[in-house]
Amino acid sequence: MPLFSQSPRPSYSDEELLAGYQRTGRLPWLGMLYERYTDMVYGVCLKYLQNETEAEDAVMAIFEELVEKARKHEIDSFRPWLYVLTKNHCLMFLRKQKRTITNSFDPHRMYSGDTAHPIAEEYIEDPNIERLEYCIEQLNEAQQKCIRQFYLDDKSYKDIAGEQNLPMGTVRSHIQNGRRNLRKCIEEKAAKEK
Amino acid sequence: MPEQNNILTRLRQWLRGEARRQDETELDRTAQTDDFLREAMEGYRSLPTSNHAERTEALRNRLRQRAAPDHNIRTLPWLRIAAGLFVILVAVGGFYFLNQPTTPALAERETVERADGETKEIEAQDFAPQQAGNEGQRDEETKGQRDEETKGQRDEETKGQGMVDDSRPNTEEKTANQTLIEPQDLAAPQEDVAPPRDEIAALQEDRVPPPTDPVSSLPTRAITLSDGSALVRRGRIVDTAGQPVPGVELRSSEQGEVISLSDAQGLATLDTAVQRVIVERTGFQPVQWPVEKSANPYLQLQPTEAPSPASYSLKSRVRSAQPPMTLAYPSVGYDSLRRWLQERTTTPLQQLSFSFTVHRDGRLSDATPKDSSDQAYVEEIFSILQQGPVWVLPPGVDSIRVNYQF
Repeated sequence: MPLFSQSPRPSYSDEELLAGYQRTGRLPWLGMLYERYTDMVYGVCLKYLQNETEAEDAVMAIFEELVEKARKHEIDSFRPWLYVLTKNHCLMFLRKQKRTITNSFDPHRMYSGDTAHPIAEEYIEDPNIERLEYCIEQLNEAQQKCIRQFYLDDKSYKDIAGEQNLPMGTVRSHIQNGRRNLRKCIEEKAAKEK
Repeated sequence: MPEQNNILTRLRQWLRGEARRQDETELDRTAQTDDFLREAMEGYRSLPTSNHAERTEALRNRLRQRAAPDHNIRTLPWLRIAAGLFVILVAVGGFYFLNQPTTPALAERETVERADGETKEIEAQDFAPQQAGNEGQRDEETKGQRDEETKGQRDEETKGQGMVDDSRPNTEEKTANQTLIEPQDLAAPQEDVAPPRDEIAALQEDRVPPPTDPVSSLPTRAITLSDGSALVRRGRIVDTAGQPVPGVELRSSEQGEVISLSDAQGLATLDTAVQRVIVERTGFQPVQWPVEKSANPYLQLQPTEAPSPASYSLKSRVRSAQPPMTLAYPSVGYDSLRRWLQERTTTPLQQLSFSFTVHRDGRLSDATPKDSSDQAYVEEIFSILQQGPVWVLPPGVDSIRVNYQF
């Protein structure tokens, strides 16, 4: 980055954009940096607030926080710092609203190496294929159709939504629920076979 | 950096519904080691029917407008204030100049006020600029004195992001104005800085004189009391290698709610009066951290496999220990417990949600169905759970109520 550059460029790294903002105090630098992480920040806000409008407002409020804090704080690595800031903001928001933070355990929503995707390649190519075929048959029609198109025909959500004339959210929901049911079914079948 | 861009691009592609099986699988695998990405994807998946792509695009547009160059003046509010004041001054000055009284009586009266006993006569239009100059000088003097007076106090206060720093500029501005107009109101802004009376009373015993504070070198938030002493509760959370652990949740043992999180440097600050906190992060054993006087402000977390440390201390006093509301977990981990349960049920596991109590002696009792889960089915699962792996409780707790959901 040129030492006295006054305009941010998309090719700049996070550190360069942050340094540019700290040096000039001009928002386009910070805006370009924050925009990179908008999807991540919004997703985290959705997780905690469970409300789209509140999550959108939170994303904008976090940016306002950044405007102040990014100039005052020494930030070694922007990404993890922003993650903590986002999480803190959401938790504090919930606290002010006196809303409970749910800490329940739902094993089917948790990630783990062997259960994230029941129809990942290793499942398709090993003896699980029979269990998989059986379990896909057990799904309801809508889930079955979406799962087949996504996993076996290698189509995107958008393609599936177009072909079936469904909103993309519905396709996403069918695949998500179908995947969860499949995972349960495969594990249960494997347990019974033992 | 290229890897980061790749993740962000994949995520955006996924949100637009353009990701295929391999892209999504890859994204999920990355999320297993990337908490930021994992939580973001969990957020999106928690509301699957929402049009995320449209909303995030609208958000980006809002951000671009907010960060556009013509909005930059917002970053320099003093410039706007100064410009506004300048315009007002010019307008008032012009108005005053054009409406100068020419009657001898007024001119004489102003002479008396200005000359302080001198007999020299000054015209009203001559007096006005001098008065303005004097006011400017008084303003500067007042500001200088105020700076001197507040410097010591400010040095004692911390430089964190708390309300003290945020409120200071307004307070100073208000004080400066009131010095010129109504000096008797000078004390009023100071009340804005001090915490509420009940908060002072609740924390009265925890006053810490800054010079002898063993952790005064740690950056933190402080509340300044009316006598100038500072209330602080702070500490650094590290792992067994002495490295700071960010994102650690500190929960109130009384309410069970998250009251603070450690930052990237592992620093955690409490601004709430609590007696004991539960410290928890994935991959580490949860521990209780009593808020105790004259104790080590560093908390070392042990990895999940290691034995649990007894307890650690943070600055303040402990009066009595209250049992926390959550934080019991199966010794074998949730994944193994789930598999263990599945192997022992005669029917396929169904959706269910229930709560039960875990006792120190290992007993599980009082299973109660939640979310309209079937009572008979809950009892069946619970009876298997009762014969299952041991549950771990935090030290100093006799029993904990656990919510369990399949």
